[in-house]
Amino acid sequence: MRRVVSSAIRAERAFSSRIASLQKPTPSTSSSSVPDRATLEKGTVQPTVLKPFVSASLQHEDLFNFESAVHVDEMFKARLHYGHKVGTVNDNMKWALYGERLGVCVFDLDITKKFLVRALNFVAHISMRGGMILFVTSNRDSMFDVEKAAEEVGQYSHVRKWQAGTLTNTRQLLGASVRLPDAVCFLSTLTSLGENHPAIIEAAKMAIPTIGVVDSNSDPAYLTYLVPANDDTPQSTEYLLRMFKEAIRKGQEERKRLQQGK
Amino acid sequence: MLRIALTRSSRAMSSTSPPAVSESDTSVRKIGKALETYLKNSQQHVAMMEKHRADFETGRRHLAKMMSLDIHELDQAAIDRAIQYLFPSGLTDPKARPVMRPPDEILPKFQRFTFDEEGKPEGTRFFTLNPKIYGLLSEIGVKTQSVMKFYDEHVGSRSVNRSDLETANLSGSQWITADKMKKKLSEKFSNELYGQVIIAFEHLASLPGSAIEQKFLSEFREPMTASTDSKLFGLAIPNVQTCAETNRRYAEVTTHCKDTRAVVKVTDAGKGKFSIDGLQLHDFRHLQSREILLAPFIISQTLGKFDVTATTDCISNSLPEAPNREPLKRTGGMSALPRAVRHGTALCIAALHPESIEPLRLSGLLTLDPRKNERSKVNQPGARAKWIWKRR
Repeated sequence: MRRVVSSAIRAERAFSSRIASLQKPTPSTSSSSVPDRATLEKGTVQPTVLKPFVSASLQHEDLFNFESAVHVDEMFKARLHYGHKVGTVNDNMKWALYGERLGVCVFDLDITKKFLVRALNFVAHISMRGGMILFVTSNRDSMFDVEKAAEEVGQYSHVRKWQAGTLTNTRQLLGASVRLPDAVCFLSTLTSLGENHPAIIEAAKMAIPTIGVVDSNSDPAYLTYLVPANDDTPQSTEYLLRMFKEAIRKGQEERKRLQQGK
Repeated sequence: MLRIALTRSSRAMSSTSPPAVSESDTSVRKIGKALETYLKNSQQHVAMMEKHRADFETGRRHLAKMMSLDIHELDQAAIDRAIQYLFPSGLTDPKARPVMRPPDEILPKFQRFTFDEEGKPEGTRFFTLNPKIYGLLSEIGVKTQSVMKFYDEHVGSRSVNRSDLETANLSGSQWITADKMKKKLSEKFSNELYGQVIIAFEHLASLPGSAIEQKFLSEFREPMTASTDSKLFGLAIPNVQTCAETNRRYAEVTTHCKDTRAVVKVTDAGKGKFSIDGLQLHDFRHLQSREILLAPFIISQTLGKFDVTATTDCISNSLPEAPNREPLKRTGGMSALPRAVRHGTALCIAALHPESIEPLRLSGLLTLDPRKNERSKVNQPGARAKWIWKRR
């Protein structure tokens, strides 16, 4: 809940265009829709008090109805449940595991589904508000698929060597400050050396929410939305990319509909 | 969590609007701070350039008046001359001297990006910082995969051409240089990235079946022979001219060997006549000289097709000599004189008969022989020889 509300506020603050058709929430103080200082301070401890200030579209847990679009058997067929060898498991990933089979970790796909739906909703919301999503991977096998997927939905991709400061130091690197991505989606969070991708920290520093497909050996730290799943197999990457693309398309369609409806 | 939210709202690109706005605001596109700054800087730059251009034009008019020239006569070369005259400078570095040039040439360029109306940068690979070259790398990668797949599917089958299953034919060409690639992609990138691209290209070209990507590969190849002229040591191949009276093509070149300078003129549609300082081929009694003179014609298989006219003199004859000394009256030797003529002849034949450039080049006849007689040193009887030294 904490995460949902805080991300909702963030999304509200981040995007300029608003959803007109959806009903406006009724804030406690009718004169202003902005929380006063006391409420904000209280919100640092108890984020739920800020919920009335969030727009109606964000009150919904599953606005785009991904619950019915994501199926466990499809995920199973796409081999999303395979983890790495038991010896490599990260302590912080044990919550997402169902168990082990022949020395290999197996993900609990019910948990994966819950988290995937959450991440897809977030992606769709970003897309609906005209946000930019940067797809990042360091996996050599899936890099071309990721680039292609990002291009198809008009989003951004980075599958190459990460230049330090790409997000934190754009002014120096590009000669002008540019609009940064509104969300970063990691299709694999580990580099070939087994280290965390440098973009995770940079995105966290710039307070850019991140979506991370985390395998059993990955470190989930600093990632906002986790998707515990296999990130090495081409089939699983293909499935995840398909779902992310669908989410972005749903958001874009919704955005178009709202803009035309006005 | 809230702190994050507040940080984000103060981030460069985020919107300045309050968290919830009225419905009428949805139609208004809010531009982020960064884009606002960018647009402001861009406008400032345009205004600044406009001002400098106007200043330059005013300055040009003043300068024309000072130099009592017409404004139309005052082109850039005239401006440079005037500045040199008005501000004589003893500074050795040309960059430190006063200059008056159009502001577009000397002022730093403004970095331009393309954004859409929402401030999104153009191009899916924008955040890789080198979108063009990485795009090329990805294109090569995708093509490599498709070539491998094509080969695996069609090897041994008769449904495709045999030639399609071979490697691409890249003979006689080379990969374009880093500078040319930068120009072609209009993007700056490091040498390391250029190396990666070349490795990727080499791998693609080495695959069986890469012949289907021949067209793509040859876009990034350039012919090797394109730079033959610059590879020649010494003189370049002269231009062909046409004689106004006889309407015959000819080429003329001045070259030297050792101390002998030769001005050689080779005329097309001739009978193989030689006239070297008025001497014909049979006037050279030594067989070595005749062989040397005929060598380029034998190599290019044009014996008896060109006429050669040459005049020779010795370079040292024209050098200033002490007034009490007799001026030198040297002439070219048995070998050096024909060799000087041979080099000139070969260059002229290469100009008149381009098919023979390669054989002439390979036989070394287009290469200047730069060796000279070494000067004798002071306090020494010769160039290297020393007086006998004996311990007293």
